[in-house]
Amino acid sequence: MRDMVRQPWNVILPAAGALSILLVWQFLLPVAGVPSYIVPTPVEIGRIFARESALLWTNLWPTVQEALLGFLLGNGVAVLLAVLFVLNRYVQAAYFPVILFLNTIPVLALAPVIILIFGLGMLPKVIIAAVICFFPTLVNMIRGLESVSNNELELFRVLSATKLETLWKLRLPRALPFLFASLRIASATAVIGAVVGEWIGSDKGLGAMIIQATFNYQSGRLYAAITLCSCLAILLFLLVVAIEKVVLRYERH
Amino acid sequence: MREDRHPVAIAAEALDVGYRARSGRAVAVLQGFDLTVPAGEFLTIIGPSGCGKSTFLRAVADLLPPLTGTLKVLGGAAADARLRREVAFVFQDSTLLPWRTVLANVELPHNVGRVAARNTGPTAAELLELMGLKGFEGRYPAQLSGGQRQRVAIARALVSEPRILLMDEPFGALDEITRDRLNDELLRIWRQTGCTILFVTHSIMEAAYLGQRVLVLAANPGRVHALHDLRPLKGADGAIGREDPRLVEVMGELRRDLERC
Repeated sequence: MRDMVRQPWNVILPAAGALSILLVWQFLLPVAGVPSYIVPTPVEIGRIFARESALLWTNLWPTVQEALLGFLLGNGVAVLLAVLFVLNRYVQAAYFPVILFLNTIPVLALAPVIILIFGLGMLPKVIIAAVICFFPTLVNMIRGLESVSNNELELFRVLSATKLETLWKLRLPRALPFLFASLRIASATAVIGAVVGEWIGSDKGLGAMIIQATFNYQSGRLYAAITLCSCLAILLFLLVVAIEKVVLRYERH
Repeated sequence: MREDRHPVAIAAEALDVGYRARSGRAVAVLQGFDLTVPAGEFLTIIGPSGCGKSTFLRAVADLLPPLTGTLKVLGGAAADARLRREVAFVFQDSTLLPWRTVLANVELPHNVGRVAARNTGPTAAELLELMGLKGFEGRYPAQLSGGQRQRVAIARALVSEPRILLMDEPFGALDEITRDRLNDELLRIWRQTGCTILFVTHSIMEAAYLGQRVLVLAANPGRVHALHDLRPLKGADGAIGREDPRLVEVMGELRRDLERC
């Protein structure tokens, strides 16, 4: 924040950049002959937000829930598994390659399977969002838990610390910066997961809205839904950053 | 200050310390090592790289089990001394936990290990005052200079009232003026607590200035090269001027030792 005050250009330039693109979009695209049923202008999209706000809100809410729950589930399981892997090398050696292999399956290919197993409710979308968050957090968390130095481990050994104490008081605090790095990424991917899940089997949510609006040539509605998806990801990201600032306050000194 | 229940702090006999290679073959870094350190002594250890200086400290701290031979710490096994918190270690990098405040770092030994809390000794706050860090309790390690961080590390080592303080090049990364000042503070702490100090260093000056005895190790394999007794020129409190000609002479001897080993 202090940097922003000292360097007003840091705010003015990005704002000017965004504004210039919006202006080109608003005034140049229609002149260039791009019809509004393909790309509606920003003003038209704004009008959709005013006119169809009730519809947008009812579809936003399920996506918010799915993304949030998926975020918590995927990252939570990843953290627990990372701890288990670091506490027991044999479990890690046995199961990490399997997870590595599963991670190579594209989420888009996996999503129908998850829908097939869990049906059409909210649960499969939560699980798809969770799957997408899971792997980067697992890898980052393992790296973080192992980022302790030899001296730190020796210090805890000289103090006769138990394995659990070393985990709580050394490994987990060391891993937190790594965890937050992947939570920042997961804040965007969780929304992607929820939307992809809704594409494949849902009649509500922003993903379902995107599919229906596309087939019905309701491009204003389509762009409004896209904007909401992006806003949701940004909000989740800012939430993660705010929590990170509190938890890792020692890093600012 | 704790009563010395045992007159010998460390006794090593025909000690081999090292590690086991994957093949199971024992690789001794330190070989046939004999040394007796009386309780309350300030012993400095100097030698070329790979002579096993740190290896010996790690054996005393029970971080590395002996391959063969016997090692007694305060009359018993190194592991028992560690479990009773009678041994503390100070590393070359301060090894402070960056997420803990200075005070919380000094209190770390009270927060881990299943050791009954001893409330007889100085508190963490008192130790910080002793180390000249009053007013820094709430700071984070990143806000301190290298010398201040090392002072915190020493306070943390002292908080469990160890009878043996193992220091592995603790001032190696500091500038000379800070190092001189910390050397004097360390001597003061040694006199106040009466604990046994094993101090590994690369500096001939530091080895001669601090030690009551100076152990010179040779490398490949690590073994005792010479043991200099400086008690006759230093008096009981270990004090000597930095430019005392006798100290300069000792430093010359140590330099010649190191060139030969």
